[in-house]
Amino acid sequence: MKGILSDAPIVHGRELPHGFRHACDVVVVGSGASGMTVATILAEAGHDVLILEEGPYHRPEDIGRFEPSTSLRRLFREAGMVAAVGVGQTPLISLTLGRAVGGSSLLTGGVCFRIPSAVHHGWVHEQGLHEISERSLEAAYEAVEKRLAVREVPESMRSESSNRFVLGAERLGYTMRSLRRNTGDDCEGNGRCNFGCPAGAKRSVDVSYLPDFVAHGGRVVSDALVEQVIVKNGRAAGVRGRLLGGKFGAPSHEFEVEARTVVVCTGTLHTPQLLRSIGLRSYGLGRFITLHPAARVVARFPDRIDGWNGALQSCYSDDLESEGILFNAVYTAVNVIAAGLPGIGPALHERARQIPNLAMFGAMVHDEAGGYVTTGIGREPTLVYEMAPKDLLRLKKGMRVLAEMALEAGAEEVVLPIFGMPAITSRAQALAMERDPIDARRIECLAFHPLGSARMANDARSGTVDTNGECFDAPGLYVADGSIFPTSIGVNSQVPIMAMATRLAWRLSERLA
Amino acid sequence: MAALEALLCDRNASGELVAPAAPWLERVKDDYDRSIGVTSLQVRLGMRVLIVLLEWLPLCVLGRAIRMSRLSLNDRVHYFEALEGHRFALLTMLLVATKIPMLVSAFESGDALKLTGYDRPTTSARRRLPVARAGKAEPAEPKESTT
Repeated sequence: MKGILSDAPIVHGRELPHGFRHACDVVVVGSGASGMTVATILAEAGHDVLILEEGPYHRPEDIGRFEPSTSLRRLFREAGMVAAVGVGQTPLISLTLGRAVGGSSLLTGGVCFRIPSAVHHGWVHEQGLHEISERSLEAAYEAVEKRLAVREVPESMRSESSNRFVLGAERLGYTMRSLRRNTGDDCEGNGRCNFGCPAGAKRSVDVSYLPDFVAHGGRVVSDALVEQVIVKNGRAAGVRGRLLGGKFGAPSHEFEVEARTVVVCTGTLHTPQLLRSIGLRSYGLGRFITLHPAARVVARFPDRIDGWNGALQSCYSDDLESEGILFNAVYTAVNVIAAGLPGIGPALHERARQIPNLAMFGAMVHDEAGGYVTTGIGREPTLVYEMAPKDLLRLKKGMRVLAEMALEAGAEEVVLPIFGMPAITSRAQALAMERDPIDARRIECLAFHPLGSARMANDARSGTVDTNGECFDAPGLYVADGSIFPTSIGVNSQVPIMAMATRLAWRLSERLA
Repeated sequence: MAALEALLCDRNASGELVAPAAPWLERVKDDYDRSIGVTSLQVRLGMRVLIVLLEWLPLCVLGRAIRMSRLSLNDRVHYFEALEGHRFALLTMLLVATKIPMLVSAFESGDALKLTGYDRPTTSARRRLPVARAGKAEPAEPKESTT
């Protein structure tokens, strides 16, 4: 095998005529929020860093022009069709995962939260993880938020869809606050951040970090699937894999990268696969996965509100945070809304015509660990998830409160994400929904924040990685993605993941120096 | 194709069910095929199983030994409606898991997009924002950018 046959900083692996062998200081597997963060910080510190990304690379300006279905095919893992296999009374849960240079940061609504104090308190006082206290992450948060140009969404950018729920919330005594997002001052309110920003305002990591990474000599190879970590003398010594996207039927080209440090950032579902490739069987590896299952409630108002005009996500309420429920403003592309509406044929058309009158809001549950990943039929892992009864109650309460908000604001009917359930028109019906037993498999959920399959711990008996992100059983092998979170955090996870990755990268840089 | 036809059909002025226009149907089908084409073996197999089940379930749902694709358009709509509201949640889940990926691109462009009331020419077009007049204190005219 030869070296990488390209001088470009961003190499399209599918276009390479043959595989390659490469040597560098650090190889980072995965280019999402965590991988890009670690790689950029290390490159800026003078280390020779290579990122290997399984998905393709698309320029930000191209992504902004994608129709939603194109985004689904090119940026989303499994074209947006990843779902958890539910066990028992578990809703149908679809997962949004990125698979492109930039990872899932390309697909967020731009929401930026920090980890709530109560979660840090639990990590420190219940699990003894003093090194990831709230204070210890402060500098990392500041560095991340500066780079992402995090700003509070002005009220003027709220869509009418959000405003209706804000009105209902106020009438019911709930407080709505403005979200902080990574759009700087450039958001135009195009209302489709999760499929790519037409204005180029969203600072996903391909916009906020990649240029600096490349400017400091870092290189990315896209379409490069890492299948195995190489171990020599008991230490991680590199990775090997194959290039994807070549001609149909042609053998795939293999590659091998030698590096004294390997950082795995492939996300909660895929990281365990890679760690298992070298026989790691640490406590909890691939288990205790949390998802933040969320339900989207849709309300029809008598007047036209054109909910697509405004920031996709602009406000939230954490009034029920102590109960594990967070309310978040949401919207999405109209064709995606239409596809998810109930009804067949004429009934679906009728619902689609009502889209200008629809408002929506989401309820997200701070769930208990109920999932694990196992090897699937092909190369993709299978996520099995069993929702805790308590989480199901939280989900139903969240839907009930949102339905009440909408009705209080004047909605004519509220469509809950419960298959086969007629739209509700009164608060009594909303209460009945919460009280009555429902087959949970009728509930349609979305999940955006899988966390916790390779947990951080103080010793090998209780986790996979130490507080520096290094695997207990494989020196030189680090994990820096959401899989290392010791518990669910109850808020959108991009900035917390990036802050953790920043802290780990700083430490790693010191060690490598 | 038979499933898509039923999912996307509508009523004409006299209240009769009419199949969606062939080009629209073709486009949606092609988009769905392309989406399935980029997924893993696991998802492709899963979707195939769902489609096969959808094809043969009229026997259980309608009590008729006939394949879904051989049903009349009216009966297909009736069959899917029965699945959507079925007392067995798994049957409803089966329909929804098939329906949503199939229909993602259905209302994405052309007349179908207009039907949703969306006021931009495409789903990737930028919002029309009023342009403020530089240096003027009075409220800006609702002049619109053409970006």
